[in-house]
Parts: sequence; C-alpha cells; structure tokens
Amino acid sequence: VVDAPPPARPAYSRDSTVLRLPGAIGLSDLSPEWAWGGATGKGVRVAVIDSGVESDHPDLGGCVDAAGAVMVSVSPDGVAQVITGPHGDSFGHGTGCAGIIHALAPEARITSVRVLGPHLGGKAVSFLRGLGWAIEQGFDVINMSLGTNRQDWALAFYEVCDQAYFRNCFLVTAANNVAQPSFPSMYGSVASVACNLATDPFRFHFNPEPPTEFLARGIDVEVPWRGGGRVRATGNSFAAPHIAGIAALIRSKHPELRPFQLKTVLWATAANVREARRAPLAAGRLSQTVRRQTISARATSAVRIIRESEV
Amino acid sequence: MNAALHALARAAVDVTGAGAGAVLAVAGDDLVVVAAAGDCAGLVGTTVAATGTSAAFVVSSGQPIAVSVRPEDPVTSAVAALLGRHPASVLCVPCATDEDPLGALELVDKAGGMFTVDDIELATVLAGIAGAALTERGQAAAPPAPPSWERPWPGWPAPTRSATRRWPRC
Repeated sequence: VVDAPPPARPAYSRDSTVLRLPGAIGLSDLSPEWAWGGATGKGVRVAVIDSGVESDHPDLGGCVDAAGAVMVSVSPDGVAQVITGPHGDSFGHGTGCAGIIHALAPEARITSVRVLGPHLGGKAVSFLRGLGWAIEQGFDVINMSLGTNRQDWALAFYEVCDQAYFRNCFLVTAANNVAQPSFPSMYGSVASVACNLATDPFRFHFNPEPPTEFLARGIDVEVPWRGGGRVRATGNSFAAPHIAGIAALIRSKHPELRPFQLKTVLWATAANVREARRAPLAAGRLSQTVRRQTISARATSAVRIIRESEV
Repeated sequence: MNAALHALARAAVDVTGAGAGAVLAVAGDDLVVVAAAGDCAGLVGTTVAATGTSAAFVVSSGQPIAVSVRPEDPVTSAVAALLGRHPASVLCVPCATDEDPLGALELVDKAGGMFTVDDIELATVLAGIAGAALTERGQAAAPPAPPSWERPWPGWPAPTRSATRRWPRC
C-alpha cells in the first residue's frame, strides 16, 4: 500500500507561517517608539475626502499632489462623476484637515478628493463616489471628516468600507457629536474618532465602547484655512486627521501592517492603554483602568463609554 | 412653526452665551434665515448665498464646527456677512434629520471667548429639534418629494428603504 501524498496546504496556511511583526514579539512591545519613532510619513499616500485642499497654502509645504486631485460632481441626471485636476477649497475645512496630517507626517503625500462643493444637495452620492475612487486608487490612509445621516445609503457605505478594509486602505472618520447614527462612522472597518482634552497632537486615547474607538486632539486647534490664512477650530472633524496623521507615520515605518493590525498598534500606543499597562495592576483590572482614564480624557458626552456607576 | 424655531434660536443664544444666532433653512443652493435671536433678529426672511459659508459646510458635511476668527481671517459666517461685521467666534451645527440636513443653526460671538465642546453639544441637541421643525415646515409647504435617483456609479440601483439596516445608537 502506497501512502497518498499529504494534501497541499492552502495558500492562506502557507502565508500565515511567514507573517510576523518585525522586531515586536508581543503586545507589550508595541510602543510609540516602535510604532512611529523616526518616521516622517515618507512613501505614504493620504487621501483627504472633504471640501478640497488649497494645495499652495504655505502651511502645507508642497505636500499636496495637486495634479492628481479629483473633484466629484453630480450630473443633472443624478450620476456622480469624478473629474481629475487641480481645484481649490470651497470652504477651508479640507485644507485644515490636510494641515493637521502634514504637521504630523510631513513627508506623506496628500491628495484632495473634493466631494463638498458649491451645491448643497446630493452629498451622500458624491461622498460615496469619492470614497470609492480613493479605495480604487489604493490610498494608504483615507481621512473623512464628514458623514451622512441618510440611512438609505448606510448599506452602500458599509460595503464600500469593507472593500477598503480588504484592499488595505485605512479609513479614519470623524464621529458624530451626538448619539445619532452617522455613516460611515458606525462601522468596524473604519477608525472613528472624537475629541479628547489633549493639547499634545500625539496624545490620543482608546475608547473601550465603540463605535467611537479613538479620542484625539480636536479642541482649539490652529489649522490652515482657505485663502492662505489660519483659524482656531474645534470639532471631531479635527480629531480625525490627528489619527490619520499618526496612522500615516505608522504605515511609513511598518508598511506590512494590515488595517486590523494598524488599529491594534493604535490601541497599544493610546495614552490610556500605555498608562494603564504601566500601573501595577491585578490581573483583569487593565480594562477598568483604561475606562477610568478614558472618562477623564473625553471631551464629548456623545462618547458614552461607560456608566459612571461602573467606575 | 416659526415660533418654535425662534424659541430654539433664542434658547441656543442663551445657553451658549452667543451674541447672535439664527436658524438657516436650505432653499435650493441658497440658505434662508427662518428664525433669529440676539442682534440679528431682524434678518428673518433674508436669503444668503451658501458658497463658502460655515452653514453651507455643515449642511454638506453633517459635521458641526466651531472656529475663532481673527480680523485678518476670511469671514466664513453667513450671519456675520448679513450683519456686516467680523465675528470673533462662530459655531455652526447641522439641523440633522434621517435625511440630508435641512438647514443649520449658526451662532456668533460667544461672550468671553471661543465656543466649547459643551456649546457644540447643546447647540446640536437644539438643532436636532430645529431639524424636526424644518421637516414639518417643509411637509406643510410642499407635497412629498419624489424618491431620489442618485447614483454614485452608472447602473447603480436606486436606494430603497428595504436595504436599510437598523443601527445601534452610540
């Protein structure tokens, strides 16, 4: 009797044996120094889906790919069209978000995907088309400081965000300020961000009760604005690009990381998680300490992380 | 209906310490002041071009925004443009519904500084009520709009309520 050869291992089995995080043995090794120490964002492409970016703003230091920018417009028959070419910022908000990302990851290349223009209608369809375009182009990080309440588009956004996850695009979105569903901030395939009370742009927190998963600086932030100027601005809109900028740094240093690994690195390097890990804790107390520290760091009550009685 | 919107505008000015405030409703690609309080109370009925204003941005993006503005910065406030003066601070939140926002609640010139996150949350709650009032106002003024037929890509099926999932609240 001749033994049959063993069946070939499936591809996923072979691949799984060679995937390792270089230089990191366990979760406790995931420090800010490991994650982004020395990184500049070089080699990383970031899409900013917003009101446009003023590419020649002096604060942006030439980091914007003006020729590769796209603008989405909706034709009279209702079809969203992607138009390539330089454009300005219809408000200033996109320039502000790009400025935050550039300040954190100065060598990352930023591309504007303008979906907010002069017309007030048809924003969900423009937003969805712009997001789909950015995913098709394979951007490493996509910042979306906007959202839609339209539940009839929720499933379409869900599917497109899942495509981003499997195509290795890391999506960062601003959370809603109140407890009302806003898409795509409700999905597990994105990193949803609200404000914390920090003034240090690298000090961010993990929120143990999703859908909002991270808290970052978003209060009284000086940002570049339309017309070459600056404003001081507050809102979850400005928290999201802080996480996008840090994600760009991590991706430039560790391009092998998939979105779920990148989220894990963000979790491990969040201020409240690091501080809780350093504290002498009995087993099983880490999450409670993380929650307590998150409560003191949160800026917005819409981030309902825990009932006070649990602390 | 406008009495309710006026009360909301007054409440928003009072609770945030703003100098003036208005509820602006979407009218095509423009915005119309439908209720006002503080030193812009006389602006009701005025139409303002939406382009480049904070009200237009929050209607489009669904995201509230608070900014402090220096005299040399561009004026982004629809209310301040109507008032003819440069605001020191602007807070604008969408009048959100389950559909696209129907308008915005805009406040200017907070006493003693910049609008805070607490102000944003208070204004957002009031703007949500204003959104419900604007929905009723629109339903009373016009027959229901036909279902939208927007398509992100050619051939994309029209969205239907049957495809809607129920999402948990934050």
